[in-house]
Amino acid sequence: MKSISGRGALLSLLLAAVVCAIAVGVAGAGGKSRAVRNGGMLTIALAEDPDALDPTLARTFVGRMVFLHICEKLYDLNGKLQIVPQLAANLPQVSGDKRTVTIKLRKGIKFNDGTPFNARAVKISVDRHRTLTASRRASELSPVDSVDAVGASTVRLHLKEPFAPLAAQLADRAGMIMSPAQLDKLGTRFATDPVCVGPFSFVSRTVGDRIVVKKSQFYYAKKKVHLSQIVFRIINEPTAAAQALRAHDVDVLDRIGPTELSAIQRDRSLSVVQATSIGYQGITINIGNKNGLLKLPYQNVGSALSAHAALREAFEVAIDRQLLNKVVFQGQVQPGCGPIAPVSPWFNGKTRCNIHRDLKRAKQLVARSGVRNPSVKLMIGNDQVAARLGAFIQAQEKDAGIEVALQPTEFVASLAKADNGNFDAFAIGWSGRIDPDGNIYNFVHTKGAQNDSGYSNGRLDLILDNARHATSAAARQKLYNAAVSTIRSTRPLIYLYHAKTRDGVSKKVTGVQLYGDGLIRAQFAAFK
Amino acid sequence: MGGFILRKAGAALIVLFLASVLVFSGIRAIPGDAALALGGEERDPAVTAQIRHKYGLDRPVPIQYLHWVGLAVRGDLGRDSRELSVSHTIVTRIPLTLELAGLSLLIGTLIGAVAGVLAAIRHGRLADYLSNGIALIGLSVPHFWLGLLMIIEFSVNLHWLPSGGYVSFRADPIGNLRHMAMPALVLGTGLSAVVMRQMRSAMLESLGADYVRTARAKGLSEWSVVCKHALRNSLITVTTIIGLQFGALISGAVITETIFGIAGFGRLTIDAVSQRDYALIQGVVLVTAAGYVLVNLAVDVLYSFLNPRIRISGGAA
Repeated sequence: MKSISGRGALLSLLLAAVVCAIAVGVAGAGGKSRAVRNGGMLTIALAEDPDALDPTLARTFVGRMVFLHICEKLYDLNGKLQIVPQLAANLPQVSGDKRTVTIKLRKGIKFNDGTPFNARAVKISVDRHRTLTASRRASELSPVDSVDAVGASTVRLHLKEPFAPLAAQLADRAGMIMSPAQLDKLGTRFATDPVCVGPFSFVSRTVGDRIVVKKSQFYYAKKKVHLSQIVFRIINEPTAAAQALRAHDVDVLDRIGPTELSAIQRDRSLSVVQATSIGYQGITINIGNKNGLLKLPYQNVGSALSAHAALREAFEVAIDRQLLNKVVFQGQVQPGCGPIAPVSPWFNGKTRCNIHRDLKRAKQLVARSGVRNPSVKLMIGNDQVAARLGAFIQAQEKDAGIEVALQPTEFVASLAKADNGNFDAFAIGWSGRIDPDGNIYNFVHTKGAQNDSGYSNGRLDLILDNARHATSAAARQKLYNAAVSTIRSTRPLIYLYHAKTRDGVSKKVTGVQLYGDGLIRAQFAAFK
Repeated sequence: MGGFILRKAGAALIVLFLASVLVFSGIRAIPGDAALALGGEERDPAVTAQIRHKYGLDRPVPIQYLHWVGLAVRGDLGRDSRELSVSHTIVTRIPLTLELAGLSLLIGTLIGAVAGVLAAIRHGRLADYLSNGIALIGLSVPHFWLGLLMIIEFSVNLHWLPSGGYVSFRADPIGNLRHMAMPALVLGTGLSAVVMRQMRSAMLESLGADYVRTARAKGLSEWSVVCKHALRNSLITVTTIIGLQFGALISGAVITETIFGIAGFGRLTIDAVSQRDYALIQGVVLVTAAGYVLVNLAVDVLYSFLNPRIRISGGAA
């Protein structure tokens, strides 16, 4: 072994000191080790006013953001959009015949009124979700036949048929557990003072103005909760909301408007967090919805697009998704070709998506269809973005020889027209679900509740039913790959893009998270 | 006097009944199924049917109307899609819009009346042209543009005033005025222009009338001629305008409320319409109609005090 000279030792010491200093400096700059302040009121600007704060009756996207802070679920999502236990102790255990699902619950948890969280509470909530009149959860839990509380910390769900997406359903509002004491007290008026398990408890609501929640004293991980209060302020004018963020009257802004993005990006006191949506935007083609939704059997409506598969293909390949992104959305969306977004763990990376148009092929397909001067009535929304999108598609299709007549229609009216089959093509999107079943089944299965296309394909029905029954993720992945392939080749829907959610956050705040579901997660956020 | 008021109140009740019928049938004429809108994204037909039944939408429209009116006369306007009481929501939202409209009225009237009188007594001179010019701008500038401009300047750049929201006067009087300053000024701008133009023409007419000439011939001071004689008569026309404008301010506050994030009556209306929340829309529009009717009734009564000839002719008729 060589001995180190005095000068060498000094150099080594100096080097070690420099390395240490750099290492400490780097760690200090990292967000995680930076000290955060306990207390403070975080203000989140929501783009709309949530509906009923009752997990059984709630239907709005913004409502889910409020629930994230006051109503925990049996399961939740992690940053990779995988399902992880929240109030459950582990992932559901499925019996051999796939008809019984056992869920173990975490122990020692209390609702925000101090009453205990247990299997009985889970049974009461799940039964309420399934059976309450006008429950928006009833269809999500329709495969559940009955629920048993087995002891204090185990529930057993008996299914009418195997249903693999159950865990995903229980990772949303259908998995939110309400305090039985509060349900006894308020019944159907639970929304006036909701009590669940959550890092924050409900304080007050002023319709159209704000919802106030405060740090819960009963939360099982209250040491992780830094904020003392969160105020959800409803500011539904995008420019005014952006100015409120810039004026620091709000700390977090839900969904920055496209025209406000650059100003917020330029503001050094603000940051922008973004996530690609697990939903999609596309065009539904009316193929067989002649007599109305679910009025079976579906019959071909006889329009040019419904009668000629080649024309549907021409319609799709005439659209340049890349250009659409640039022209209509200033590059702010992700072009896509299927119902499963690239951010989803279920996305098949081998799927080929040609985001550029093939005008030559589009013209050939139009000629092959034999339809002279084909025309399509495209129902679109009545907002500015829809108008731009419609005008873009109209211009692209014209190049291929397809005349598109735009039908701007108010949203609720357009839903009624779509359900009645009173349309040729309908530009509409879907906010997305974590399980692929939620993005596919209802839209293309013959018995799907949103199959406005009136599409009926026995093979696809079989694939989708099998995907619901399969329990292994690998088997389900294969089935969904096959399903997406079938949909893309027959085109009851033409998928165009996946939206990107962009939220503005003040740099005074740390720990605000945004996943692909587009929901703001500020349960464990803090002021710096 | 009592007969006059009773006659006017009777007419007001008939108007209110007709308004309720119009509101009820008008809302149902909006295209689109309310149950679909309330059903959420899933649009499950079974759930939609349950919602239709829950809100009574599957019953004949006249039955729905009678049920609604029956509850409304007892002060119960039903429950909205948030499962909250419509009456309570409206009662808590009205003060915000009333305060906004009241402050706007105050600002608009003060600016408009002073500018109008000034323009009339300085007719054909610089002050007149200036007042007319400002009034024209006041009428032309859209509220949303002016509101955003003020927010950018006074909230984002100068940090003097909050960009929006509302704090009740009882909880924090200073905070309340700080929150209401910009919205009231924005909403009052248009009104001040209307008041100015009305005041100017009414004053010009009064100043040219025989009784003013007589007053001047009697040697009264200019102050006395303008304020005691011409202004008092001109106020009759202007009071009518203010009365009508107050109703318009309440229903027209929606843009200002939206820009400044004030959860007032106007915003409530827009939200209710976009959500097809029938119970809320009906309640909101009925209360708006009642507001119009009551304010007009109050103006009629005030008229009779300002000009006794109206009361006398009304009583004799």
